[in-house]
Amino acid sequence: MESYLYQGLVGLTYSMYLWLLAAGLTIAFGVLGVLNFSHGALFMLGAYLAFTIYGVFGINFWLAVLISALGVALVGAVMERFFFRHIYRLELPFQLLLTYGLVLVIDDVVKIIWGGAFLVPPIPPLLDGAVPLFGRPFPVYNLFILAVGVLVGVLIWLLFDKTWWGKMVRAAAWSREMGATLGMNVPRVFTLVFMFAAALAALGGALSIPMRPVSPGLGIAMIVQAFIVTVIGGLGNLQGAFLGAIIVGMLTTYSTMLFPLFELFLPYVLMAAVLILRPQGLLGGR
Amino acid sequence: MRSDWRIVMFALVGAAVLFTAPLWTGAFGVYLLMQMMLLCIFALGFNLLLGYTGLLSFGQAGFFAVGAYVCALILLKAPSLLLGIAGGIVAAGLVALVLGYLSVKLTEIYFSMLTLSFGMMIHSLVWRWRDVTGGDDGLTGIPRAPLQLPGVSIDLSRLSSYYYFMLVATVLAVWVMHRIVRSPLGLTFQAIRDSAVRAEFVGISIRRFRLWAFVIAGLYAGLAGAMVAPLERTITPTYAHWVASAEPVLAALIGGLYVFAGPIVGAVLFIGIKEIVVRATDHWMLVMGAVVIAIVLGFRGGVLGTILRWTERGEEGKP
Amino acid sequence: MSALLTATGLVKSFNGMRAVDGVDIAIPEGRVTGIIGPNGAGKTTLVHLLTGHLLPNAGRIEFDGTDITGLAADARVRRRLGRTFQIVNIFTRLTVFQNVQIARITRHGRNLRCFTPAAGEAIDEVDAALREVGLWELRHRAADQLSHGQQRRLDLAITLATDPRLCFLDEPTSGVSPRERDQMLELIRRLADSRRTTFVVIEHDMEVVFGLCDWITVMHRGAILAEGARDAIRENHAVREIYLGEDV
Repeated sequence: MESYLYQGLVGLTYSMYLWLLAAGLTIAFGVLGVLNFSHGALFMLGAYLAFTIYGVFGINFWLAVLISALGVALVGAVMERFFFRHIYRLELPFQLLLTYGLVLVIDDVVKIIWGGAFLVPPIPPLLDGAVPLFGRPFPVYNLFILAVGVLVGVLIWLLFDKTWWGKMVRAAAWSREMGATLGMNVPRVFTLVFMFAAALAALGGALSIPMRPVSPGLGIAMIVQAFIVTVIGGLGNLQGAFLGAIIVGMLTTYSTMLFPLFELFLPYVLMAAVLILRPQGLLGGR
Repeated sequence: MRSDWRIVMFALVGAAVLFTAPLWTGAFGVYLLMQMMLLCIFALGFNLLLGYTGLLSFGQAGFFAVGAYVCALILLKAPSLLLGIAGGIVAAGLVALVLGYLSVKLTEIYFSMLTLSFGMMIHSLVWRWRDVTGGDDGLTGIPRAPLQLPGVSIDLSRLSSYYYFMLVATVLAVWVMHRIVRSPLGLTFQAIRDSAVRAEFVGISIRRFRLWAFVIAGLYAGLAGAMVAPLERTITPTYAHWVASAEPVLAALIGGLYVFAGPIVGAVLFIGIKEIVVRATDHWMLVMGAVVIAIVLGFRGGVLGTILRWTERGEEGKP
Repeated sequence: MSALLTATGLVKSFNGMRAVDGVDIAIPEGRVTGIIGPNGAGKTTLVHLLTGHLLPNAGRIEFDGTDITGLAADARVRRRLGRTFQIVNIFTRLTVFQNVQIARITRHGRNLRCFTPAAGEAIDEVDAALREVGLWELRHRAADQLSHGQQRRLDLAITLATDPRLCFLDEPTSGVSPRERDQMLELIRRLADSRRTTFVVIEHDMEVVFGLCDWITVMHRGAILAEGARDAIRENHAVREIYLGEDV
């Protein structure tokens, strides 16, 4: 019994990384209307940047995470300004294809700069160590991640639900004309929103490096799972993304433990089931 | 129309080149042409779904793999090429029928996501079902079985012999697809693409016809997959991965989604560019990504679509 | 005068708001009927329900004596219940000819033919349909290159090519120039007189409706306010109040 609970915590930790990625994906989709296939690459970029700043240059871990998130936010600004802006009015296949093209480019750029090997930096000293939970030592760092995930969730909810700025963004997401009549510089808002979404993904990636190896395949591995998360939760629905992340994270971790043959299979089955039975997702509206 | 004789000339030259290829190019050149033909068939079927019916499927490699594995399994037991290929095609078509029935209930992004999951489910299945598929080692030692026709058995063990077989199959596949897209069925697909609601209000059951498009695309993917098995003589689960599903997408996009010959030209260009780039640099993904981005931003008609637009302007004398 | 299409107790809600609130309607055969009402009265939603674009939350619809309440839209079209759209809806990449042709191919049930060329299908019928709406000269033009008024006529031609016994025209003159509007009205009048099609015109422009329709149904806030012959409706106090804001 205890080992199940322990695995549950491990699963929840993984869910938090998924949540950070899916949150950014959901915000980008909800506001800009683009399902960004390259969002996983932004997660990966965050991880690589943080690794270089912290693991190679030895700069304070927290600073490295912050710089990494800001750096990827800038990349996000470039992506939105120079690429996404041209595809808002295009049909879905072209949008997906453009973001897929970006995946190819970013993945290769990462390989050029950092090589193809797996990279594992040391855990920051503050969070090193483990606590005995359910009979086994559970890394303190993971507890920290759990806290971050919940905190980010609360912050995003506050931001979009309670602040004036958040409400304006939601209005612009609903209708660009409405945003413009409300006096917003809609194109600039879109860029800022995407920068925020990119920073979230990068935050997830940067925070993941002490516990998870960084490699060029990271982006693609994460994005497909993030898609599954958002579909299950409901496209464009932040609470759905949180719920979906928990479900997929736990499912993947438990199936690694219980049905090791199927851990790749089950998330896809779940996504297919949701799409067939309730395409709008568990928490989706229409 | 003036462009008609240009097309005929092009086709004749192309035919001459293809039918004599083994004479003027070595084994690698022939192999490369065969890769192009396989992708051509795969992409033609894919484009019936995307360019003609408006459905973007990310799981076509699943049907390719079904065709490959079923053909391989048949050939390992009963070395008759026609049986293997027919089996591969039929199996892929049946799987497409079942999965398509579930998928066409959805549209747009949901359809794409569901086909992605189906493709990856096939990949997982192939990966894990070691007893039948060999797991990640795949199937090896697939015989290039002879082509058994009534009264004669043609040996295809030489690469050039199999090349001619594939060439005939490809020409047939292209011809059949051409008939389909020019037919009332093809027009029905295009109507659904242009406006599904309007098609419904003309009396077309859009679900039913989308399923037809899906099955035909699956059959073509299965044909391509079935022909790869005796060519490579080894097949692995990577054929079913969504990365493999991206190849016909890229080929169709590069060649031109809204032109019949788009996937054909795109297949040639894709394989060709890949070969050239892979020799020049390790970073062929970067090049391919840049090409895709450039096309989406500026040349959505693909190579053929853009050329046709330019020549049309030239002929009419006005933009 | 027999009723070709009847509906009883139709209700359609969106998020708790009733766009159509208990509508009983009977559309007579052979006349040109108008459904009018201010914006938001529920006219288009009613048409969506009657044509199968939406399914009702409650109520029953009968067409030519058969219950079609749960029938899908494409099946209704095949039973010869057709419509045009408020926002023009045509096959953008197909030519004008092909736009009408696909309707004829579907009418003949030949969609599954996959080996014969579509170019040879129903040529005479399509030509005649295009001449009827004055678009024959543009038949090889791509549909998205037509003017708005021409696209409206194409939308009409496509619907007529499905051989409807009953045809809904949803705001057929909206967004067109005054000259094109008059042309469209004249066209509809001509078609109504010569064909055996019953037309139902949905409009909020009173002038259009009174000029065209013999029988008028007035909607207000999701329900039927009044129903009757043109002159009776014109004199109806409640109707005038809704439209003119005062009792004259």
